Amino acid sequence: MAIPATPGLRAVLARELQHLRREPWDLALLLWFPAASLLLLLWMFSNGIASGLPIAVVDEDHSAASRELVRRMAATRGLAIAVQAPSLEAAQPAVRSGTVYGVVHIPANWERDGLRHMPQPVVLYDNAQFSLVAGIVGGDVRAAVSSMSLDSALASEARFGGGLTQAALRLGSVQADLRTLFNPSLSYEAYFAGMLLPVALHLFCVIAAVSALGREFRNRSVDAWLHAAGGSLARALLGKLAPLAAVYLLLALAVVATFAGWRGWPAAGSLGLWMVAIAVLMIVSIAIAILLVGLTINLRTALSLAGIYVATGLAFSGFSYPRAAMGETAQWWGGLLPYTHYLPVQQGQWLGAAPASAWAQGMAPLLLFIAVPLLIGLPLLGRAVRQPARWGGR
Amino acid sequence: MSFWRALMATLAAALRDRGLVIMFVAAVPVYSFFYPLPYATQAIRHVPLVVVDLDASPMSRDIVSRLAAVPSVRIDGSASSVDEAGTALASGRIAGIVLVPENFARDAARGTPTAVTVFGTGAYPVQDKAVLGSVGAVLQGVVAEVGGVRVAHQGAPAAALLQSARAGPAFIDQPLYNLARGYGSYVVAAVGILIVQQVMLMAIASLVGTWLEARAGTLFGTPRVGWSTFAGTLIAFALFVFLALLYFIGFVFWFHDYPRGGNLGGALAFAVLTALTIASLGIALGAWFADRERAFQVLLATSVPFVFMCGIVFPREAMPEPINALALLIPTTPGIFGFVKLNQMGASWSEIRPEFLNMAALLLLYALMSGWAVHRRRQAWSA
Repeated sequence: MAIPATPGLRAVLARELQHLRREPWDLALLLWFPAASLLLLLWMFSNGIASGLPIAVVDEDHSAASRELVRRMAATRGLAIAVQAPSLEAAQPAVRSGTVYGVVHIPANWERDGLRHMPQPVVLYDNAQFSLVAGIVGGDVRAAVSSMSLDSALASEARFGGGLTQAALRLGSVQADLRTLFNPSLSYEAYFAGMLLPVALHLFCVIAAVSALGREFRNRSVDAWLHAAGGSLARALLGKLAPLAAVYLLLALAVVATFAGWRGWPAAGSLGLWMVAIAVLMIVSIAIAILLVGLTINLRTALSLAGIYVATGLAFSGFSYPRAAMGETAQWWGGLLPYTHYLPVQQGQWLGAAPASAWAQGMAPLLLFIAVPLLIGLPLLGRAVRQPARWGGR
Repeated sequence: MSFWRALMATLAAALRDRGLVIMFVAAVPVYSFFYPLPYATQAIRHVPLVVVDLDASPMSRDIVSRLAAVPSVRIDGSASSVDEAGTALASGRIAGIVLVPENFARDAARGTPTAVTVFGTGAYPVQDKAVLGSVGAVLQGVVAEVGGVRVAHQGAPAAALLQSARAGPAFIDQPLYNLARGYGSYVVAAVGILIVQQVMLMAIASLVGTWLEARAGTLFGTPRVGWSTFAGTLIAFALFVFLALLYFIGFVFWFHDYPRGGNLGGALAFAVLTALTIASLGIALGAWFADRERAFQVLLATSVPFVFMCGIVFPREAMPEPINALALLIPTTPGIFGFVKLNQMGASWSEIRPEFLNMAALLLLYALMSGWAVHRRRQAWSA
């Protein structure tokens, strides 16, 4: 649309759209780049599970039982026996070069000593520098060894009579039952993609909004911008940020639709409340951008601050390392980041079937991340647009 | 321009640019203290649990007191039913629920089937594994003791009981390299290399972009750019990257007491190669963006995909092949693997052969690209 002659909201909007048409880079940063990144992240974790993780086996026992253990390990979902080494020394280079994630050592006389009730342990040396993989490998090897131990315990219990069935009942009479609720299969797609897509969108939205505002100061085009708005900063901001807000609200809803619809994890709580929450996160992103530009009146500095404040937010949010486990300073800083507050709201409504009251409790601090940045940022911007001497900072 | 003059001029330009000197010199140290902060405690601790004790027997109280002694969890109150505690679990306020059913002690003594149940939440998988792992281990111990008592009642010989009580574990999970299984040791060793790459790419690309805008600097402010000028500029930029890498693998790993220094000579040599690669990519990006701020806008958002694409957090075996292929173009992909293998795992030079070849190929690719991009930009002017 052509820029209307009369200043007003439509004129600002038209000016912004015209800029995006003329500057393919800015359009790409606003739209194509985030959209492509979301698809990339989604694709990255689309397998959902980690399977076929290569390990090495050192079988010094060469017994029927040790071969059975190797067979059971190979039969697990997570493991693939990539190397059969004659000794631990021979297996080491395979670990150091990253060919395998760990070595399972079955000691000599393992079967014989087990039958004599003097069992020797099977030892897994896992590469703890790859923490998540080491956890999967450890779990699967442990499960294979446990199944062997259980079999021999059964055989030994059967001596007390009643055959294997009775023995199993007696052995299993008292159990420790470990259950995972909400995402019980621990799908890595739901985990990583589910947490990374919203935070990536949050970051992209801050960058795009900082760029849209900061550009006017960098280019010393504040006069033209305000002129199109008839001198009103409110109208100038609304017209400039409306296309951006529309794009990000749509992308945010697309993220929700992707998980709840396409990828098949319907919201256990309320789909509507989840959508409201992610929409609010986008508004928060815009408010933070207004604060960052207001504080700095410099596109580059505002972007650097976004790098420290927003891009590191994931680490402090408790998405992997729980917040309760962090030191006080890290917990405190995490509390000052919007994503930390958004995450439990999303997980509660999406996976956890949390009640609306829990949602409302989680949303209250999120709304503060709109109010406080605007209360500080808007007056700062208002002052800066009247001080041409401060424009043009690079 | 001679090699030395180009080198000195580039160093001076980087240090005199009041906006970018922070990126070249201060940003990596700032991030090196800031980013490891959440992981400073290294091991998962104090994760809140709620106990639903419907048995209220000495045995169930014993279970609770044993759980209270587990460092990874913290008993955060009790509830009268799983439903009551379930809301807190669903909304993420607690990490798990331990349920001791009614008549647990009685049933256990009689051999009537019964179970202590731990509920974790898959909404936070790392926490879930920590809860089920640590609480599960305590409960398995309780179950084994109960089983021993039952077998004694059945009249098993005391010698056999003693033998099985003294038997070692059937399985030992022994960590290599990161011996304490420190979470920070794992995350920061990898992300540190990414931080260096991202900060340095932004700084170099931004300075080159600034030169392009103003037709200044060694690459765009001189009548012609020969081999020596280009090499001097590249090596000056690489020097900043090299120092940042040394700072990380030398000071930061030591300061946080992460595993380090496995193959120091190898790490130094690999740092030279990595620094040249990142510097070349920085020049290429700067010449492409032709803008002072663009590098910040583009690179800020790439950190999250890059760290996952390198394959240390989420294994390559689980990622689609085209993504693994794409990841080979990012210096951090061989960079993170290579440095972790050299610094933390003590790999020999031949054991990082794939990473070395990958990085060397990237250096060749990006050095050619940067030379070509600079040439193209200059040609466009003279035309």
